Formats: sequence, C-alpha cells, structure tokens
Amino acid sequence: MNIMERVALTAEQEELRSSVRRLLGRWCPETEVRRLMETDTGFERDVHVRLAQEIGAVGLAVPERFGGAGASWREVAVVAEETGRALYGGPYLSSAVLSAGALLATEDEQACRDYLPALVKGEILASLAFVEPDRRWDAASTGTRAVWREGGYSLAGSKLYVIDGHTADLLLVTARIDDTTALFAVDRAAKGITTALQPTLDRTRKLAEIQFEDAPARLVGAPAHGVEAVSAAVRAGCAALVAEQVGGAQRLLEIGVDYANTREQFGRPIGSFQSIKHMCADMLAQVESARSLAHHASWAIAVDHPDAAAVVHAAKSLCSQTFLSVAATTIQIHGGIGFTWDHPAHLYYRRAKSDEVLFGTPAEHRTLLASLLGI
Amino acid sequence: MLRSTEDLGLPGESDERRQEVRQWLAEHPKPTGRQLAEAGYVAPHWPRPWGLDADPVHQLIIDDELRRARVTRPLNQIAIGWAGPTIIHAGTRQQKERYLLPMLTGEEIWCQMFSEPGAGSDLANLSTRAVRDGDGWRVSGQKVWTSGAQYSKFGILLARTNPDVPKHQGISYFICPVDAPGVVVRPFREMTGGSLFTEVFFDDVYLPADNLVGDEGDGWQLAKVTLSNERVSLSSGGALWGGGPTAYDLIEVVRSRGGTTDPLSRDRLAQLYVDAEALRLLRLRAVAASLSGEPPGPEASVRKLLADEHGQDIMNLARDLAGADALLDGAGPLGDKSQDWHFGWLFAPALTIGGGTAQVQRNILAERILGLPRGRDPHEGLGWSEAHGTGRSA
Repeated sequence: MNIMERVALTAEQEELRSSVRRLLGRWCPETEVRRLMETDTGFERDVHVRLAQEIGAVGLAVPERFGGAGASWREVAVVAEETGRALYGGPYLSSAVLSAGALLATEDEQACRDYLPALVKGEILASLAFVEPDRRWDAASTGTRAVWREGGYSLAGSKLYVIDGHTADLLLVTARIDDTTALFAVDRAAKGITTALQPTLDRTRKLAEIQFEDAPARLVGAPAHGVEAVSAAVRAGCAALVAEQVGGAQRLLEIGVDYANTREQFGRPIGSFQSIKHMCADMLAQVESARSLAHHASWAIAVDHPDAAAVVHAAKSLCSQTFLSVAATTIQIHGGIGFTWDHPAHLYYRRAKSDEVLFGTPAEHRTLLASLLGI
Repeated sequence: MLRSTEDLGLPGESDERRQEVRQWLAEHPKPTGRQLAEAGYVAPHWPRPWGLDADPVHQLIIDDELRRARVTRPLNQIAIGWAGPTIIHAGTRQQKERYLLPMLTGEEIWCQMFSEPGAGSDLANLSTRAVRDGDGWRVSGQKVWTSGAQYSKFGILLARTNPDVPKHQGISYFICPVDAPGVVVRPFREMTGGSLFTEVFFDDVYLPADNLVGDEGDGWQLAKVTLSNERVSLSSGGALWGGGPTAYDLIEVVRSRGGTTDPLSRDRLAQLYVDAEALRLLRLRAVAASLSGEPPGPEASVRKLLADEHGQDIMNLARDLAGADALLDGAGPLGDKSQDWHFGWLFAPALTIGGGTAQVQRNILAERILGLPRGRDPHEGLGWSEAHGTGRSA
C-alpha cells in the first residue's frame, strides 16, 4: 500500500462514501433518527438490508468465500464515518464490525461458513457480548461460565452494554471454560436467555443487558484463542468507532460554521466576532487531527500492522476528545437555540459522550498506550 | 516501535533518478556547496538551470539519497524559501544571474527585512520609506526581528514607496545589501539570552534601480510569492519550528530511564505522543497530496497552529519532568543533560508569536478555510498617510 492509500481515500472509497451518504440521506434523515430513537428497536430493518445488499456495506471486510466483498477494515471505516455523520442508529457497528470481526478472528472456518453469509446479506443480525457487571472493557475479564452438559455447552452469567443486543439473532459471547476465556455463538431465541434494553443517554445507540441461565452455546474457535479474537474484534470496533466520531464531528463543524455565518447580532453575522472565529478554527484543527488518526487506525488494522494496537489507542483517545469537544463548542456557538431539544446538536452531544465511554475512555486508552510506549 | 522514517512507497533502487544521484555522488564524494548548487541539488524544485524542475517524488528521492550519503546542503532558508522564488518569478535576467547561484552555494546568506516596531501582525502597515533619488531610492526607517542579519550579505527589504495609496498598494520589494552605507545592524537579546534576532536601521541608504524587484508597488504581492512547484520535504517534527527535540525524543528519554512512576506525567506523555502522531500524519497527508498533484487541503493550514502549541507542550512537559531541578538553569527531563531542553523552554513562547501569531492563524483558518466574515479594518480604502493622519487634508 503506498502513501496515498495510507492517508487519503481512493477513488473507489470516495464512491463508496457517496453511496452510503446518499442512502442514509434518503432513508435515515434527521426526522427518522428522531422517530427511531424513541422506539425500542432503534432502526428500520429494511434500511440495514439496503446497506447490506444495495451497497454490500455489511460484508466489506468479509472474505469472498464467506459471501463478503473481500475489501478491508478501511472500507468499513468509510461506511462508519457516514453512519456517524448521520447519527444512524442501525446495527452496523454491532453486526458488520464487532460480530464479523470476532468470527473472522477466531479462524473457525465452519462457524464463519455457517454465520457470515447470512450476516453479510443482512438476513441475520449479530452482537458481541463481552462486558460483565464489573464494567471492564477487557476481553479476558469474564465471570460468565461455560460448562459441558448433555453433549453441548451451557452458559451461565450476564453481560452488559451489548450493542443492539436486544435485536440480535446471534450473540457472540465470552465465557470461561475453567480458566480459559473462549468465544461462543448463542441463538438469542433459545432457552435460558433474558434480554433487557438498558436506558441509554444516547437513544440512538441501543444497549442491552443479557442474562444467561443454562443457555445452549456453540464453541467458536479454539478456547485458547478466545481472548485474542475478541480483542481483535474490539480493535476493529474502535477503528470503526473513531471513524464514526470523525463523521459526527465534521457534521457539527459544518453546522456550527453555517450558523456563525447566518446568525446576526449587533448588526452582523456572529462569525465576524473573533471569539467565534477562533472557536471554529480550533474545531477545524481538532477535526483534521482526528481524521488523520482515524484513517491511520483503520489502515493499521487493515494491513495488520504490528503497531495497530497503539495506533487504535491513540485514535480512540483523540477522536473521543475531539467529538465531545466539538459537540460542546457547537452548542456554545448556537447560544440558546443549541440548548433546545429540536436542534440536532444535543443528539450529537449525547452520541459523543456515549462514544467517549464505549470501549474505554480516552484516559484508559492513554494508559494502555503508555504501557506500549514503555513509559 | 517508534519509527522516524516513513515508508512513502518511493521508487526503489533501480529508479533512474536515484541512480543519477548516486552516480553524481560517486563522482563527487565530498561535494562542496558550489558543486551541489551547480548540479541543481540544493533546490531541486527550482526551475532549470538553478534547480531540476523536480516534482515531489524526485525531490524526495534526492533528499533520501543525500541523507544516506550524509551530505548536508547549504542552509540559506530565507534565500531558498523566499528571495530566490521571488527573483525567479519577477526578477530581471541580470538579477537572476547575479543573485541565484550564490544563494544556492551558500556563499551569500539572505535575511528578511519585513517586520517593524509598528508593523508586526499588521505588516502592511510598515513605515520604512523608500524615496526616489534619481534612478534609485533613499531608504530610511527601521526593521526588527531580522534573524541572521549579522551574517547575511543581502536582505529582502519591504519599504513604502507610495504613502498616498492604501497600505498594501504602496509597498515595494528591494534587495538591500547589508553592508550598504547607512545600514546599521544591531543584535538584541531575546528571552533565551541569545541573540538570534536583530534590529536593522536604515539612515538614508541608497539603493540603485537594479535593486528593485518587479515594479514599484508590487511589494505586497511579491512578498507572498511561492513557486507553483513547491518544495516538498519531510520535517522531523522538532518542537521549535521543525528543529530541536521531538515528542518522540522526550518519550525516548523517559523510556530509557525506566519510565516514570507518576501517573499524571505518564498520561501527559501519552497525550503528547497522540498529538505528535496526529501532526506527523497531517504532514504525511500534505506530502501525499503533493505527490499526487492534488491541491493542499485544510490539513496544510492547521499544521502551523497545532505544531506551535505542540512545541510548547513538549517543552513544558520536559521542564516539568525535571522535578524541582526546574528551578535551575540547564534543567532537562529526568536529569537529561542536553541543553536543548533548557533553551527550548525559553524559546517556546516565540512559537505562537513568530511567523504569524496563533491568533492571526486562527483568523486565517476561520476566514479563508471556513469562509467566516473578514474583520473590518478601519484603514481599509484610506491612503496610508491619510490613515495615519499625516497626509494632506481632503
């Protein structure tokens, strides 16, 4: 991959970006975002199917032999950026990134053959469940146990913050076999599974709490590789999430600048006042920095770069800070009207806060980064 | 795991342009500045015959080969970055023949006589006057922040030739020999204790007609000239305008001393690394755009703003890592003895002032990139003298 592919979009990626933007603009404008966020489901199934089938967005990082496009996490990030820009509430992160990523990382050919084709087509939805009541974003940390019973595994335990867990058909769940954390595939419709929607700050991101009580499960991949597989999936999830954050922040910058140019007080646009100009200039600088790191993160994951983990930590730290800061500044630029329910700024603000926490806060990522740097 | 060179995907060993440089180096094992200049290697992006009309890829290949051979090119920043391109763009044949080659060989160093006590951020407000005297001019006034005048042969001088028109229109661009009678260079001491900068006084200095570049009144436009084929290079990301220690250097100091036990310092270091990476990638994006012939995007404009504050962050953290020894001269992080940290901390306030203040940079980003309304200058449309209340009444 040459330098251009590392830092800028190819012509094909730009086309992909436009297609997704058009599709979401048509099927998921702000009115739909607001309508759907009040529902339990949070999304329209057929919009997900459109993304999956009209654009092939769900299977971008999935190899062709499993029904995917055989592209890379870089292309997934292009889609993710547009979903972030549009505040899309559908199961892209959960199905296309975390679940597809976990299945592929286990290198379990049979499981991939069994689940990925339907996932790619949007026929089934899947969610990764790995966070426990101790609330750690650590793939290895699990109290959920798997025991062998009557010719199959049975899971007991509970998971929190399962993204789109309440609408998933397939759950990918971490559980301990003795002392080893392995990954299991669970049919959410089977016995022993209770799902409850968690009341989220960001209503455009649905999170579920799931209890397992003697729930039948299928082991995916070798038990010894479970932690690494989930870690890889979460890294890919972070790379997609930082792309979402850049998409959201860019949209906010546009909204803020547009307002500064239009709103007049004291006989002139408020954007002619230096304090407003400087806030906008700072947002631009932050967004371009975040964009640089987000691109680098999806590139590093796509090429399986040895430094990918460090890059992802750096990106998650900066992009989270940027999205939240830009959201707060955008509200500030709007003055009173930015504080209203009807203005979209608060929707992005909630999303920004939620994204900041998801998979670890900026400080948590910097702590992990510091270890990798040897300081 | 911290890498300082980029894999740019430049053409490899067999590339003709690489081979050409190696061949030349084989024939000139310890090349002089003159040899490098005559071969077109000092400013390859310049048009022939002074450069090689080198496109970005070619420039980077030359940089790469010279670096491998440990060959340093003559340093003459103002000349190569500013004066030279302006003379190439608007100079006469005689001016090109007289001035360009000695710039490249490093035999004649140039300085930039722009800023004045009354004209910093508002440079167009400059008051150094050039009055016609026969075919030439008589210059009187004062410049400040002229770095390197003490050892320069020539200066690019912006002076006001017409005080009756609005400020930007009445400025002309001159070549001023630093040793011309009436020119007095006075180094002053800046905050670091050093004397990188000078004041330059002009007491009725005579400049012949040949020393005007372009036409009278073209000065402001010419001051902004850069070649359409811009220089592309990889900066190391040093804290002080590209020079000096980088964030990676600071991290390496800490790492090689076994890390730090203070979680706050560790977090600040990690944050510094994140910022350094973002800047490195912004530079890479700009290089990538050049390599593919694309126009520069917004990332080019935000870089100075971010880099200057990042430089301050590096120096502030380095000093903080000296602990209580920060009370002393020469303090370095975790006891590191390099003077770079001490000097760097004292130099750091200049970063957000020189070359365009951070406030002006933000205005430029907001107005030129984001399209926000320009501020109103009360002098707009008025003649310079009129604006200063020294002109004739209407």
